[in-house]
Amino acid sequence: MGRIITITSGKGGVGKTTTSANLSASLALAGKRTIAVDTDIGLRNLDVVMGLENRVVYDIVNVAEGAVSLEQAWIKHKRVQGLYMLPASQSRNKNAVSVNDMKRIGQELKQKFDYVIIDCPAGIEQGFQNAIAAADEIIVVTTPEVSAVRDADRVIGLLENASKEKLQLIINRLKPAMVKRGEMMSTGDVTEILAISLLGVVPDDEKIIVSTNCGELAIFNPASVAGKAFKTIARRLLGEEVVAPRPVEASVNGAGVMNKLKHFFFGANDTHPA
Amino acid sequence: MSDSPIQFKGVNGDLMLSLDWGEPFEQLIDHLEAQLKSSDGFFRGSKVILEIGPRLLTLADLDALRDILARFGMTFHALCGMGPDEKIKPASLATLLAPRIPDSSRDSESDQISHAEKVLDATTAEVFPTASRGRAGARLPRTSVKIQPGDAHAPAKTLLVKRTLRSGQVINYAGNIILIGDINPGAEVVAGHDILIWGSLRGTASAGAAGDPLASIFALHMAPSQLRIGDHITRSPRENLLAAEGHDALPEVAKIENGTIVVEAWPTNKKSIPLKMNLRSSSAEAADKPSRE
Ligand SMILES: Nc1ncnc2c1ncn2[C@@H]1O[C@H](COP(=O)(O)OP(=O)(O)OP(=O)(O)O)[C@@H](O)[C@H]1O
Ligand SMILES: [Mg+2]
Repeated sequence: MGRIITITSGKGGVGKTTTSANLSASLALAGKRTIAVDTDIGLRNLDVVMGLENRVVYDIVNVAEGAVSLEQAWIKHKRVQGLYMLPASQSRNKNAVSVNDMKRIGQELKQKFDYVIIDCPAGIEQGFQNAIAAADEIIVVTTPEVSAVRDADRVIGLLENASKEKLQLIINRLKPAMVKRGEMMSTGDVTEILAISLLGVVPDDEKIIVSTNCGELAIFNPASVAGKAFKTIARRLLGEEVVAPRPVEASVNGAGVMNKLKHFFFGANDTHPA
Repeated sequence: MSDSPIQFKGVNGDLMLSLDWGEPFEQLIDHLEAQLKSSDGFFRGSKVILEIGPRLLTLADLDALRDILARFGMTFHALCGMGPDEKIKPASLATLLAPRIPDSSRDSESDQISHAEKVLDATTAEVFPTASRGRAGARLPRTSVKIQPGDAHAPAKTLLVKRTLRSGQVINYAGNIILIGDINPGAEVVAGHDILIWGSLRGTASAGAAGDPLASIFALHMAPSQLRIGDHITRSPRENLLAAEGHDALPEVAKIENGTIVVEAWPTNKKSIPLKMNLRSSSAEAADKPSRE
């Protein structure tokens, strides 16, 4: 029996698809039979990021409707042994797949793969509920921005209410230099609020955009620091204790930007006479 | 993962029913009825905490739920959930919590509201209003429950909550609230009297909602986006402030002094300083005056 891991975020555009693609490929490279499932119906793009766009024939809606089998719909990656992808539909209506369809598809995939990585759409609507329905574990992705963290917090609250207990956090697009200058929330600032276990931190990396543009995954670019971080995260998922040199743990003086802001608002010297 | 759309869980001697998010409401009602029927009176007499997730419920939905529970000898105790922006007002919750009254007397909204006051005045109901919005065409009454000023002198009950409130989650209680955990940005806690937070306050806290001017808000780490005591409000000058923990943070208390919300070290030392925030208050002159040094 495989593990179903859903990658979700709340806020859009924080890197769910990038994370799904790179983790799936890393797991496959580690010898685990892995399938990446795109549940972002209407906005399919996992196939693009994985460089499989021109091979999509059937999609998850066809499977849900029973028109084709999973084996007919999934796409085998040519370059990475053991890596598969189940595309989302580009044009159908968002409710074409139900929670029960997803549970059924998840169960079937679990029999056939070691890892099922589900790429979740943004938001907390039907697509989100579908994506988490079958999940054994959930990875919440956020960027170190106030609005993204707020949405991640909200999603974590929903997941806790839905009795999803295994929740882990990836902080994406961290800019160490900005954290150092106290202009960006640090890893500590984010985990302080979200209070779930940190699976990893991925630095902001221009090479990601180059990768995305040519459908070449960041993990295959030795110069990509983000690719390196995704590989590390995959190893952690596999249960290895990896102590990666994390980009920036905390900024100078152990106080991130938010603490500085707080001091500004509250007049720290006054409120903390000691 | 269970296949039933309703999960039964014991919580501190009460019964928590969690409703599946995706299941249509009509089906849920049928399921609930079937499950209670097959339980053979096992849950009779239990107090029910209903956990509705992000689901949007109408007053009619709430009524239907209450009817079924009543039929099986169970009573509503609390409602938890979350939704995009608005709250189910205590008034609508109180219709759930109140004992049944003849249909003729509850066909107007105002009846329901006056009824609600009675329930909350007695401070017997432990209410976790949920942030949620009625379905189109069936909006929930927006009137909030007024708790009588006289309540300020009645001995207040205390609600103990052991959890972190995340963005979008709200707790509302007519007495005191003790929360062991954090209040994250975007979360809110409202109490008729005092609030004590054994953790970080980063969201909004309203104390003294029963009109108690002596109410205070205590927190191990005070970094709120907004504080309200009675009819006084302070807010941080920036929207979306996410304050992180200062590891040197000391416990603080917020209370009203000379018509202004002040925050001081807790346990209290002699020095009390006004909160360095934009002060806006219903008694604006009072707020503009500097408080005593
Ligand atoms: N670590 C990174 N460094 C730089 N750019 C990144 C990084 N991660 C993601 N991006 C870029 O951010 C954009 C959004 O990423 P992605 O599509 O993975 O987000 P998403 O959460 O799946 O979005 P959506 O909510 O729309 O599905 C992409 O252009 C991607 O290349
Ligand atoms: Mg995406």
